[in-house]
Formats: sequence, structure tokens, C-alpha cells
Amino acid sequence: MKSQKRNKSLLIGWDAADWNIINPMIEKGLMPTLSKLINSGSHGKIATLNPPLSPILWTSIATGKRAYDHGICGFTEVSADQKSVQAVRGTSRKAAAFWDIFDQHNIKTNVIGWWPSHPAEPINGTMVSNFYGMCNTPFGENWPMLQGTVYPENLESFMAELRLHPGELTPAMLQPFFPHSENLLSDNDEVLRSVMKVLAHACSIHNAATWLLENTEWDCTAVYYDAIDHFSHLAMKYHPPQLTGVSNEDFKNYHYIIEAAYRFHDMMLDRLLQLAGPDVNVILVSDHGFESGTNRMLSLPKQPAAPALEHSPYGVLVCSGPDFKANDKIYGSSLLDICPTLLHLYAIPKGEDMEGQVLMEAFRTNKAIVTIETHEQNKQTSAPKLKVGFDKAALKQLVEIGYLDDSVLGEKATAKTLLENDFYLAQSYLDGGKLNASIQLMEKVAVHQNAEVRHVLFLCKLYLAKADWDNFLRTLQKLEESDSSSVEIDFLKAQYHFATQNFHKALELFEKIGKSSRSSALYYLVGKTYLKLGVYESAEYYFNSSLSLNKDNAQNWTELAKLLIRKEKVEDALGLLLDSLEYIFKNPETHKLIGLCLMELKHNKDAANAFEVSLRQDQQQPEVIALLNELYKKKMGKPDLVRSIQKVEPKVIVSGLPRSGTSLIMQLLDAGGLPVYTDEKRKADTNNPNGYFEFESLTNPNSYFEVFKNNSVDAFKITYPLIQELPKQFSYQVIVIERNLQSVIFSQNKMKGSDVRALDFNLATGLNQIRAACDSWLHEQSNVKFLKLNYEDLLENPTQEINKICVFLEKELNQEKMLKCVDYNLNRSQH
Amino acid sequence: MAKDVKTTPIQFEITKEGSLGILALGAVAVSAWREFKRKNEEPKKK
Repeated sequence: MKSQKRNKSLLIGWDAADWNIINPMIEKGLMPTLSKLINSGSHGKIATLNPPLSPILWTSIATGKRAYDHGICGFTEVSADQKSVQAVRGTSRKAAAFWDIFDQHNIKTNVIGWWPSHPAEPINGTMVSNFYGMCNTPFGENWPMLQGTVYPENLESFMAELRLHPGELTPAMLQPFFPHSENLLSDNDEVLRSVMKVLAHACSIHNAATWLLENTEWDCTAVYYDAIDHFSHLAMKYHPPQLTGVSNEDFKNYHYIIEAAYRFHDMMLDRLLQLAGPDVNVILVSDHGFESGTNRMLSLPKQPAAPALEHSPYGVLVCSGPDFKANDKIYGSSLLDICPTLLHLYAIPKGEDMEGQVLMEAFRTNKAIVTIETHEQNKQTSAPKLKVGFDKAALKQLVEIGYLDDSVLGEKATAKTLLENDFYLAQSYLDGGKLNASIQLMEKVAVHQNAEVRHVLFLCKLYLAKADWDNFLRTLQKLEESDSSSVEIDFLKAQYHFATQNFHKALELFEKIGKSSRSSALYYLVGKTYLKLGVYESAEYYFNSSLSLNKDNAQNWTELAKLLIRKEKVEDALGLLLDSLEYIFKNPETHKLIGLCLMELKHNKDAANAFEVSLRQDQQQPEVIALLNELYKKKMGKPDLVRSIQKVEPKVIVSGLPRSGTSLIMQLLDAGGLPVYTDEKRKADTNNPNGYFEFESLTNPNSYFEVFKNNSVDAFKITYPLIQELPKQFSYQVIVIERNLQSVIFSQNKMKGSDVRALDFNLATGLNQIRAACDSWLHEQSNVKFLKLNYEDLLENPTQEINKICVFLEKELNQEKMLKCVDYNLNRSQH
Repeated sequence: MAKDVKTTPIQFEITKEGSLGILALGAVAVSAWREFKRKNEEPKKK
């Protein structure tokens, strides 16, 4: 498929680049190239994803999807034969990256250094994998390049020569990093050696990128530099201002490293832009920021991926070029938006299965966004076979840069890797709003023999988030019996007391914790507790304290603003809220409060704009709609703009395998007074004497959206596996009825006119797989609440089970009439 | 070479020591620097 002629694009990744470092440097004139790029384009903060681990994040940037959809879940993975641990491979990605999609549209792409991209994939263009610059060989000796590093293979030997060995670096090249430490340059200083390694790697990538820009035909070039991240982990602790605990000598020797690193990146950027040419759309992005203030850490705990604790939630985004607006700001972007935005530059539709959005506000012209269901069916993968030695070298690399501990090379490595990746996947589920899926996974992780306290701690936090108090308290008890820190346990207990309205107990524990530690999260919760207790001065103090430690916490800003509004200091509140937009723009509550302040100050048009922004960010705010309507109707004389408030009830769905008892549940609901959706086309028969309660078109998923849109309160029967086709636009309460599989099969056979009682193994396996897939699907949906009932229990204890249905649905149904539907003998005979 | 791409002449002084500026210019500059070092070392070897 050919696309129309479009401008070229250059996508540049600077791992861990942070505005808190860049902005002061730009002000001092130390990053002139980036400064020019910003002024000629749009820029802003970009939100990272959890967990903030680079191979996961750069794959999310490339695919527009989260870890649970793209399949890259950590730094390492278990080999196909399950016998060893290997560095995560690009070919383990199960979602299409932008280069795959560009292939389908005949767009030539160069991809250099992407993480992960080893082994290099056979794309329409050139790919140089992320292990290109990896060097474990002494200078002067043969430096082999790992098999599969470059595609096409005929470029391999040439590209190998473009790599820069750390031993080639001269004192003159290193001097900007150590300007007042000439003695170091002849010493075997450990920090110096690390700087040399990181710098050489960056130069190798840069050499490959510049050569490809100049010597190949390309439509898109994407180059990833990991150097700022490595420099930051190495030397941010030495960056000014000097931290307590850093010696004067170390500060004197190392405090220029970060500045030199960023300046060098600016110089490399200049060259990239020069080679790319003037009519190229440039997107420069980082996957996360890096703590550079008072939250810097001098030492890290001993756990896998500990360096990620130094990452901060917002990276940098700059979009500049002929298709982008100049001198403008981009608000509320996420890593998931980069792929859709890049596709939009080439008029390629966004996949509806991509969570990210096209960043329309960055574009000069507002062309309609086209979507297609998915790009996935066209993804092709081929994994070239590699020599065994590859992974040991790669793992050693990751251990040396601190992202892995050396247990990956040990005996229990495979089990630990699987466990750790499940832990990261659970964090991804939580970040994507799939709390139940996260819990389901962590429940398996927490009982594993290799489980650690931090895994159980995370599970406990999940139960807290779900308000599952039984499991929370049970898990908390396990933590108390282990050697986890009392501060963490007290923090969990305090949050539990807060959630269960025991505010004084919560405060007691928060104050105890506050004696030995300080954190933005702690101060915020103390502020909330005082707010609940009506102690407003203390609440204000703690919200301000929390904000001083972390200005990115949107809730602090809104809580402080509410306190000011309460004191009738509306203008002060408005000023505070407008300041907060610099840090967080995507917060519907902030815009709602701005609207309220402006209404109070009689700036009605601006108030209406603020409410509209709030609604664009979250449509489910009936109170904001009401305020907006009041403005339009009564204060602005624009009754035509008034919109209706629709309270959206969740749809009630009855599901399970066919012949599990779904008709019985529908009969119960009908008897209880809940209207059920049926066309009665399939009449009652010996298999279902009381009726099927179905609607013909419900076996056709394409009809669901219209049926749900036009019927607000009925219950619908949708059996497995069609439950997975429920439209995402609605929320659901699903009652799942389960029955012994043998009984299900016999009942299905009987319905077909067969009296076979013997268990068909293949059929049983197939039905079991359907059931497992649908169960899994239910756990993963953030818009679904479900209740599982057992058919046999329903017959044995109908009163109890019927009560469960009513509690789940939060409806007062006629339980007496429902009970009469459960005819033990009739229903038993359906076996 | 890519079509319609002009290679901008690089103006810098190459010394054996090199500089961060050479590294920032990428493949062409690093190759030129390596060639310069090789040529300057050969007479000494002789």
C-alpha cells in the first residue's frame, strides 16, 4: 500500500532527558540547538508509564501500547527452551511497531539502537540493534560484532567499523566532562571509565545514524540514545547543588558530567538536523525524567531494576517541522501518543487498539483522524537463529550498568526472571486501570517460592486500592511476620485506617512515620486526613509541604485551591490553579475548579471554556455539565449550547458456557422485576421448560452497540465466548454462572439429541480453554464488574445465592418470586 | 548516497587528540580523524 508523498520524519530518543536540567541550561545558552528546535515547534512534558523500565517504555513508544499488549515485560526473558535467561529480544514483541506499519505502506525506515531491537529485523530500510555499541573487549583486540546486529547483513562489516571503542577516546574528548580534574584523566578512576564506556556507546550509535542519514534513501529515521540515562544514574548525585553525603572531592571531580552530557547531545542533535535537512518533521522524546533535586538518592536498595527508582514521571517532548505548530505548547501527552502521532504524519490510520492518541494540538492543520481496527494482522516476525554466546555478553552488560543483579547468571535465574516479569506486568495492568488483572497476577507471584517482601507489599497495596479488606488484612499479617520494614507496614495500616474512616488512628500512624521519613505522598495523606477532620490550617500546611517535595502531584494543587476557595480567597485559588497547569494540564478537577473561580469572579465566557476543557478530559461529570448549563442558560443567554445530562447505568449481562444455567439466571432476574431483553423467538422446550430468554441478534456481536444504546435497563444474555465482544463504550455488571463441565457437555449433547454421557476429551479441553480465556478477559476489563455463581450451589442454597445477586446488582428485586423459579427437581433433571 | 542530499562541508581542525566536536559530527568526522591519526603515525613507525 503506497502513501501520498509526505515530509520525512526524524524521531530522536534521549533516554531520561529532563526539563529540570534542560531549561536552566537553555537559559544559560548551553543548548542552542534544542532551544531553536523548541522555538520553531511545540513542546511539553510527556507522562511516562509504570513500571518505568526502558525496554518496556521504548516499546510502548514504538507501538502505542502497554506492556500487557506489546509483550515486552522486562530487561530479560526466559529462552524458548525455558533453560536460560536472555536479554529481552525485539522479536519477543507481539505488537506491530511503527516500522512494521511503515513497511505495509512502503515507507523506508532507518532504526538505530532502539531498545529492544536485537536481533535486527528485516524491515523496509535499515535496522541497527541496541547491542551495536556493546563492548566487553579490551582496546586493541578484535572486537567482534554480535550476529544479527545489522539488517541488511551486507552492511554488517562496514557498520562494525563505524563503532567507537572506549579506548579510542582521548583526554581532549573527556576534558569537558572533567574540566578541573586533569589528574583523573591519567588515573584508573572508576567514574571516568564508566563515562568513557557510555560516551563511546553514544558515539557508535551516532556514527551509525549519521552515516545512514547521509547514505541511504529514507522516509523516517529513528535513533535512540541511552547515554543521558546512564550518565544520570552515574553522576546525578554529583550534580549541583552538592548533596549532603557527597564528599567535596567527589563533587569537585564529577559535578560537570551531567552538563557535559547534555551539551554533547545538543551538539549531536545539531548534526542530525543538518543531515536530515530543513523539511523534516522532528520528534524528540524521552521515556521518563530523572530526579535532580532534593529527591536524589545516594544509594539504591538491593533489588532488580533498582535504578528505576531514580526516574521521575515526566520526560520531554518536542515536535518541530513543517507539519507542526511553532512556538506552542503540548499538554497532557503520554508515551502512548508518539506512535499514533508519527503515523498521522504519513496519513496512516491509528489503530483503535492503541491506547494513545494523535497529538492534534501540535499539528499546524487539523486533518481528520482516521482509525482502523488494528494494524496487528499484518505484523510479520522472523527471528534469526543466534549463537549461544550472545546472551551472556548482553546480560553481563546489563549487570554492569546496574539494571540487573548477577542472579540472572545463576541457577535459579529462569524462575526469578519469570517472576520478576510477572511483577512488572502486574504494575503495567495497574497503570492501565486493570486492577483485577493486576491482583490476579500478583496473587500467583506472592505465593511463589521465590517471592520477596516487595512483591507481597505490592499485592497488599492492590487490595487497599480495591478496598478488599479481608485480603488486605490477611496479607498485612503476612508482612508483619516477615522482615519487611515497619515504616512500610505502618504506612499501609495508616492508609487502611484512612480508607475505613478511622482518621485519628490514621493520623497517629502518619505522625509516627513522619518522625523517620519524609515524602510527598506521606505529607499529602496527612493533609487529606486533617481535611477530613476539619483542621484546615494543618491540612494547608501539609499540602504545601507535599508540593514543595513534588510539584507534579496534581491533587496537592487542587486540595490547596479548595482550601483557599473555602476561605473565600478566590483570586488566590485561581492563581494557584493556573500555576498548576504548568505541571499538570490533564486534570479535569483542576479545570472544573478554575471554572468555579471564574464563575465567582463573573468571567462567564472563560468559566465556560474551563468547564468545556474539564469535560473533554472526563465526560462523566454531571455536576460540571450542570454548571455549564447554568452558565449557558442563565448567564450567557446561549440556551442552544445546553447539553443533557445522561446518567449512565451499567448494563447487566448474564453469561457462562451454554447450558451452564444462564437461562435460569435470566428467569430469576425476570421474576425479580428486572426487565430482560428477549424476543422469545426460541420457544420454551424440554431443554428449557421455562424459556431461553434470548434475543436472536445477540449471537451477532456487531449488533451489540446498537442494542445496548437503545435499551437502558434490561438484562442481556450473552454466553461465552461472545462475552469478549462487549463494546468498550459501556460499563457492565456481569453475572457468570459456572457448572461442572461434565454436566455442561452432557446437557449440550442432550440438546443435540445425543444421549452420550462419556466425556469427549477434546470437547472438554476446548470448553475449558474458552472458559479460561473468558475468565481472564473479565479480570482485565476496567469497565466490568462480575459475580461468579455456581449452578450446584444455586440449587442447594437458592436463598443465599439469590441474595448475592441482589447485593451485587445493588437492586431491590423480589427475592420471594425469584426463589419460586428454582425448582430443585426440575433443574437437577436438566443434567 | 541518498538522492538530493548535499553533504555540508565540515570545517574543523583535526588533531591527533581529536575533540568532542569531532565526535558530535559523527561518521564522516570520526573516519577523517582516524585516517589523520593513521597517516600521522606511519612515518614514526618507519
